[in-house]
Amino acid sequence: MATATLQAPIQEQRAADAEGSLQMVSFRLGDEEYGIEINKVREIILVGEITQVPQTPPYVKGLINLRSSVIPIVDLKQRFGLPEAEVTDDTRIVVVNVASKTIGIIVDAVSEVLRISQDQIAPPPPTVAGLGQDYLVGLAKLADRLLIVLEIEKILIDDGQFEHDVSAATGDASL
Amino acid sequence: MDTNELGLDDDFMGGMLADFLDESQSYLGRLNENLLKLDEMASALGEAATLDVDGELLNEMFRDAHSLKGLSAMLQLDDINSLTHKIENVFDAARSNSLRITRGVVDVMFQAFDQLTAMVEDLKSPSGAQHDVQGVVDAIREILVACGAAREQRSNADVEDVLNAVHESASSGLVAAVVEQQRDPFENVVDETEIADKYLSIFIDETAESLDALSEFLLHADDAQIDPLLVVCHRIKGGAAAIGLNRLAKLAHSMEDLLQDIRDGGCALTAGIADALLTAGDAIRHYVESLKAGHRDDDTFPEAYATLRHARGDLSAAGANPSEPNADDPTASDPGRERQPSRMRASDRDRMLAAMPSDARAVLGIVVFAPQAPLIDIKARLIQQRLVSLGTPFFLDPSEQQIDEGGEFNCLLFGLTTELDVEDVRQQIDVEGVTRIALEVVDPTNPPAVETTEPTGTPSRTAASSGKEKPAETLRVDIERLDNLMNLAGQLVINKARFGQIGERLKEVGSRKHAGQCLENVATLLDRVVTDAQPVSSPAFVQSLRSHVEQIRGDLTVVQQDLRKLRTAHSLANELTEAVHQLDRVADGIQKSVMDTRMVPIGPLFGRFKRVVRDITRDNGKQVQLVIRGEKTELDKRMIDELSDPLIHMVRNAADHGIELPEEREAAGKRCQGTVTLDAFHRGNRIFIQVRDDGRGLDVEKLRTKAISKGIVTAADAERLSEQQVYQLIWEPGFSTAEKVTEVSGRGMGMDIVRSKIEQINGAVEIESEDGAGTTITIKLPLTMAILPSLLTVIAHDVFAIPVESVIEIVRVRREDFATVHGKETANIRGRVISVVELAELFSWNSNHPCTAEEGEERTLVIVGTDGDELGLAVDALVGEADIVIKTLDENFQNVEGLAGASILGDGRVSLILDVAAMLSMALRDAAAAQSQVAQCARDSAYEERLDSDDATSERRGRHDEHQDA
Repeated sequence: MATATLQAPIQEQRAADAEGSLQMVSFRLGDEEYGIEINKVREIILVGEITQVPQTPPYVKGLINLRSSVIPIVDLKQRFGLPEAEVTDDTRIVVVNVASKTIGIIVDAVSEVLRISQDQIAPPPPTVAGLGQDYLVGLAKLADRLLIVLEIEKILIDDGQFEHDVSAATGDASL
Repeated sequence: MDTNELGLDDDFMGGMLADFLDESQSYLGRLNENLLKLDEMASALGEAATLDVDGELLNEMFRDAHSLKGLSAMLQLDDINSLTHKIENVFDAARSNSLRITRGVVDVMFQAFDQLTAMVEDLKSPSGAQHDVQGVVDAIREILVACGAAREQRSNADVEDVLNAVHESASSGLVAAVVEQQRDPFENVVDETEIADKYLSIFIDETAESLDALSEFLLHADDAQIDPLLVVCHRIKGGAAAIGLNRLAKLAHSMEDLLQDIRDGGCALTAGIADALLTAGDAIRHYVESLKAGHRDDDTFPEAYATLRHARGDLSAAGANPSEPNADDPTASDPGRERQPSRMRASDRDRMLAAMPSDARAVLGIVVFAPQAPLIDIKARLIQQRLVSLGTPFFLDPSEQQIDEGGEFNCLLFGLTTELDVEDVRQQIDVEGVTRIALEVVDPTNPPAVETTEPTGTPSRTAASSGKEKPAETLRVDIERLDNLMNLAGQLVINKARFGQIGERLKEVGSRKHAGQCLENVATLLDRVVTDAQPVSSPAFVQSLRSHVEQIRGDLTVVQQDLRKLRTAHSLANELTEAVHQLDRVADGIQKSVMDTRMVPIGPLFGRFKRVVRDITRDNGKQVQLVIRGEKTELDKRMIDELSDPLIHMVRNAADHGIELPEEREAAGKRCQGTVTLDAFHRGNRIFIQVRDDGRGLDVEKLRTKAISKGIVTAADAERLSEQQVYQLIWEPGFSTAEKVTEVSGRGMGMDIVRSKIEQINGAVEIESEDGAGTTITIKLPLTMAILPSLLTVIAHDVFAIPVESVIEIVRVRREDFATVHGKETANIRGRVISVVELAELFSWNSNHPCTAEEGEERTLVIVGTDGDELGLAVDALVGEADIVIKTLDENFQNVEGLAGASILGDGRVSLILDVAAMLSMALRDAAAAQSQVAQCARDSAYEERLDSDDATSERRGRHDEHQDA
């Protein structure tokens, strides 16, 4: 089953942690709360001017200048098909390191850094897991809410997601 | 390779390996050169003939193979070692005349060389590929067996003896070797006088390092390993020999011998031996120090050499396994010979001056013959005759008569009255067998100038060291660090631009000159309010008005003070501009220096193609000569790496397809040997690289037929293409002009890949051809890959950079000059019809990207393109030209069609760099898509209309796609 295989890398990472717990940065997308492992997060910045890039899927908002390097900005809500929201005072860009690349993701708000233990994480329910959304690693049941644990590499890098979507997008455009 | 076998730490071995790679490159390079020479000679004689090869050439090749063998043995690179050993055997057999060099032999050697190169490459970046050397090794064995020169395998420990090997062949006597003990073993070993400072400084650096290592090892002699010591000595020897410091090389060599004996004999490194080695090390260090200081002192090598020999003697006496007989001294068989006079003795000079006519300019000289050179007397006669033809000899020793009588002499003194230049005289008397010529001009009117020269190829140790400057010191740097530095320099450039912008804006802020004036006015007006109010108002009102005015005036003073401060800020802004200008200069300087450090000459890259051409001509029976020009032109290192593949392809094309068969050439009235020329030069801010051939040129008709048969164009379209446009077909994917796919042209990439590779490094490629006279392909490259001169333009509120490289012109076009041709917008520019594209249409933007703005009376078009294909890009405004730092999108994202990358503007925003070539093909594709729809209903009429269109290229592509769709 898909979920079983998906959990493997997480467990490996967890093994490194003596207490069997993970530190997550949690953020809001619409009404949902998501979490990324803290060691993937490089920094959190305010939304500045974003230069649009053509021939890219709609969820790629464009490029920004992060201290003299150019990084792409991905709108996670669009990526997940959630309704779009205006940029507010709370909107942030979470700069993450995935593979050897640095990428910014737009989130509605960054909530907190929390520590959750392995047993708090359950596999996503079959209806969600069945969507083939590999990046959903599991659900962490917190005291008062649910945290959706993301595997950020899978969102952005996995089997050339960018490339795949781009070719689809340009294909449409050229016709 | 198991480095731990040696018990050395990995760092050391890593360093050794790097050194080995460095050094082996030069050996391999020279081997390749010499093999090519050999091949040239061999092929001149034809298949079966054998070759009488110059012994020096074979010696040099033997030496290189031998050095490689020694190095690889030390690093325990067994496979390389055994192969080099085989190669060495062949050259050894050849130079001792037991093997005749034929084309077959040369071919096998080339194979072996290729294997060797591959193995060395493999060390650099392990590919894990197994090198099958067995075939080559067998072939070599056959050769050797055939000539009866097959020898027993020598072991790795075979004395590594480069110089000896050379001298063995030089008829040195073994018996005499013992006799020569007391004589100066360095007598006949002379150094090159002309050593490029560049190499000298590298050598000085390296040797100093090696010597430090040597002392370090020796001072811990108790547990010292012989191997690292050997490596160090070898390195010193190799370095010295490579730049022609033969004396130093010899000393290092004898150090190596000593160590080798110890290793072979399994002896321990005794204190005595360590001392001897240290003495030699000191002698070298002393000499190197003198080199570093810029003057060549006399060395103390003979003394050190003696110490080493002594230590070696002790070693043999102690029962160690004696190494092979020493034959270090090539002059050993001539023990009774006098020391060579290196210049005229004062007494000789006086004798000559005495005989000299007092009123004429004269050249005095001494010619020294090589010891044992045959027929010295005849040569002396020859020189004497030439002297007569040059002027009036007034002095000759030995005299004519003595020469005729065949007396014993090895030098010739002469005095000559002549007006000729010293250089001319030297050329005339520089006959074979002469080792030295010292000339002196004596001019009664001018003070004498002494010139000591020697015949080319025969080095002398007494170098004229006066006036030599101190060589620059060098440092080897990891290319990664340079990349990093380049990156930082790029950021500096970005930040500098930002400063500039801030300064400009500050100036604007501070430039409100009128504010002060306004305040003055307000003050006067206030006064007037009070005075005006006085007659008509009650005193109480006036009173309160006055107090208000006072208050306002107080406030005004504060504002005025602030204004004054602002004015200071304004002058500060000016100062800032000044400082930014300074920064500008510094940043430019840094950027330029960093770029310079990355520049390497293109020569070695060009050199590689000699082999490529040679291989091709072997296979296709054509005669091709490769001419290389501009090898000193410098390019960014990374660019050179990227250029290798495209250039190989172009050279192959030129040699394989461009040049005709000898018969054809003769029939066309050309020399039967074709010429392929590689040239590199600067033109403005760019570097041009040309691959030129004098072959048949591109056959326009053939290209047309080909393109049609490959389905690249339709027959109707092909007819319409101009010559230049037909040439462009070469760059189409899947196009090749070869009639038959040979092994050569079949491998590698297509020309379309060549082009895209060049475009990747921001270059452009152009092709010119003349029927029957040849083809020229020109690659135009920017000076560096990291910085791109660009035109900044505003399109729909975003700034886009267009590489200046691709900008043909910028025009303002009036409304009435726009027209649609077949639904496509075009502009009439001085009679040319150019298609106009809007970026918003060409690119597919996400959501709310603002469309191109207002349509005014005039529009600005940037005409972009690469030869033939042009496009007018509609822009809203021009910002200006700037050197921008390219950031690849791939680094953190992915490549995007139509974009060459991004760059950071002065204000910190990201701007996109347009990829003109990709935009052209996108535009053509769009046109094709539109066409195919139209074509459905009105195919024929569409064709006719298109006949009128000038944009034939786009038609062609359109047609092509359509063709495929159908």
